[in-house]
Amino acid sequence: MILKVNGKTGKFKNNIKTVADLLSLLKIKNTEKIAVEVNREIIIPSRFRQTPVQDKDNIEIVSFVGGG
Amino acid sequence: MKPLEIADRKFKSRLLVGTGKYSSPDSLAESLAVSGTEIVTVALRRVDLNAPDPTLQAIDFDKYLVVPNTSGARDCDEAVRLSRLARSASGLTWIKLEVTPDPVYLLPDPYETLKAAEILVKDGFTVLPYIHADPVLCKRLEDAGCAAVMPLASPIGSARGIRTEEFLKIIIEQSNLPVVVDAGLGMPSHAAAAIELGADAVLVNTAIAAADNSVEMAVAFKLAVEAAEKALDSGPVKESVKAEASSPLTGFLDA
Repeated sequence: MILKVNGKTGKFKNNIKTVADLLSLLKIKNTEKIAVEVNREIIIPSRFRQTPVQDKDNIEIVSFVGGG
Repeated sequence: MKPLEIADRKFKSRLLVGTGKYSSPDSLAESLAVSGTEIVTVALRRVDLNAPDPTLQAIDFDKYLVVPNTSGARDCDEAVRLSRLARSASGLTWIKLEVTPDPVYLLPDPYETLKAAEILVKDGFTVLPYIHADPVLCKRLEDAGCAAVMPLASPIGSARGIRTEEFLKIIIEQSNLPVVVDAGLGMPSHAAAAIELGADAVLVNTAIAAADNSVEMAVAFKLAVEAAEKALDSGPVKESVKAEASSPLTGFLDA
């Protein structure tokens, strides 16, 4: 399965079935303060487990950094 | 002075502090603590999967009202997209709206900012737009339902102080919204001057973050803002062109 994650295209195993699976694979633990878009649609945290990721999905994972 | 009130919230401190550019998370955490601030800003970026930003751990989301900005947005669509992502990440509807297509001076685009403000207000956001010191634009943003206006003193991070004074005065005179002077305040005296002009609050980032000693500089800004508040509460003397002698002009010795 090919996914684009934060602008980088990569191969992922087919056992990555949901947004939650992907976050866990990427070792993103603090899921409280992140936001996820799948194909430009925002996925609220309570739906990470139900939301499927599929071949050719474009996924953005963002969080807070210092700023003024 | 009455407490600072933005949207439905009251704040004791008139100093808002940005969280970018600190030398370490510890320096950031301590600077925020000593500044007395109650409102801090953050930005939103792609998670760096190799090196997560440690800033986040230094900010106590329970202690401070954390207001995400839309920095990096070059037009209305990008700003709205970032705002919605920020809301999803923070669970909060406050947003500092920034649309800065110009990479050299980072000056805000008034048209795209107004368009984004209208959309975001309808979408339930508490919108604090970063703008040029433009009194007419401030009224348009007020009509759009923004919660405050954030006119610039000088370009972001420039430390040049208040270069928009005449227009800030008009904004302060006319605005029914809180006026937060943002960007370019380089020294505590600049922050004090903004409050003395009648601004409701100031936002400072680079001047504190990039100082050799951020913690001490945060204290300096806190004191400056409080000094200006105290001065305004103390009935300042009006300016005059002619001298006003401090001692009686009678009772001299004979020649």
